[in-house]
Amino acid sequence: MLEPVPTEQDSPALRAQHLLERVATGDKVAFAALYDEMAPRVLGLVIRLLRDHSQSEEVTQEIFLEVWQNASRFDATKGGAVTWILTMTHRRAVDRVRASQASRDRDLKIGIRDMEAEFDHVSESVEVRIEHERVEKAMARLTELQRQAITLSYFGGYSNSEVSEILSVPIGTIKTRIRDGMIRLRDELGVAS
Amino acid sequence: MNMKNDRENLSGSYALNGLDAAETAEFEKHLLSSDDTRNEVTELTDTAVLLGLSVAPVAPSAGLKASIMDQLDAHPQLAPLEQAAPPVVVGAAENRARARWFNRPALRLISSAAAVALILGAGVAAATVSQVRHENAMATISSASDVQQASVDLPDGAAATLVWSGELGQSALIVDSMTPPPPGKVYELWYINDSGARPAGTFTVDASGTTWQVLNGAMTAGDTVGVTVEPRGGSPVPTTDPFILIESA
Repeated sequence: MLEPVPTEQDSPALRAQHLLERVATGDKVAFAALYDEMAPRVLGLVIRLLRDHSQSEEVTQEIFLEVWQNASRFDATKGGAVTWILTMTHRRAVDRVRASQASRDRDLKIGIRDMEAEFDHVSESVEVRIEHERVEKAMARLTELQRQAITLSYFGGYSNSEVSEILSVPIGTIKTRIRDGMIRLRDELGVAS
Repeated sequence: MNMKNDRENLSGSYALNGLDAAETAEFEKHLLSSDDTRNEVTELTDTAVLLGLSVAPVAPSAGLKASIMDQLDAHPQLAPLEQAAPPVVVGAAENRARARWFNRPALRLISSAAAVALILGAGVAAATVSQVRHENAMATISSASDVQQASVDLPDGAAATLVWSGELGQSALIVDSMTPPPPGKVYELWYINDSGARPAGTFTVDASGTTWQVLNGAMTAGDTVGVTVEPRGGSPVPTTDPFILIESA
């Protein structure tokens, strides 16, 4: 018997988790619903890194097929479904950034100001806007170098050595600042395992 | 800056996927042995997800969903982990999340009494020189000052016990009630870690279902020992999924 698709009253995180658990059993209806729930998030993040829309849709397709194939390996006791999917998304987007010729040609001199201005581009959705403001406030607590290194790394998909080159800061310092900065963000955002 | 600090320093970059492939592999090896770093990485990865959730969503084009749905049948789902028992708790269980290749059978600890009895009784069939040498190796391992062991039950009632000494860098596998391999096949042993699976010899069992085998090659602390079914003579790399996995940690 098919279980009903989770209702709108459930939180998005819980909905995604229930759906993913059903996808693990081969449930295509649940997979379609999970896609509807998560695809704009996934594509939004991929585009943020890759910029090119059609290439980003290709990567989004790969990610969802990976979600389908690996759903049985998802373990809710180790983290939420949204975390699982977005972590996979970022990794795949970075893989593509590093692999594609277009990205190799990316101008390393891209202005950090442009990256940060882009971060200020806010969504219409209330939920995303709230999330964005939380993150923005937390980012404001970082030192300039921490913020720049994390922005280039996460939103730009740049490797540590590229970040080091862009910011003209030694790579060892970049690694330390990224870690300090992420720990600060973790504390500001109240993330604890 | 010492190596240890340097490695721990990478947790943030790892969570942001900022490391290159070699650094990532090295760091993941380190993760297997450090609970603190692993916890930190989990938290920083969750933090990174919040960055991802702050990005404006973008609606995919209309055809993308249909295109993905059309491809599902061509992308078979990986088998779910077996449900019977709580998943493997031999060694550091959560490491397994990162080691997908290991992430197969549901194994669990059994009493070690059976294994000890086997070790003690293992000399019975010794006849040839190589068997004697083999037995000596076994005796050396089981009498090492740091000898450890871990056991698993298989769904078909068989049991396997790994005995190892980190100091000697050696291990042996003892099996009980195991079905003989299919005709033309052998069981092959593997030392598995982040850099892959290293062949560690083959063995078969007779109708008694009981035997033991000292693994070839050196064991490194934290290696997982796996057993696969391979064509006679063994394979340089596994061609089937391991049906026994025991972590030596």
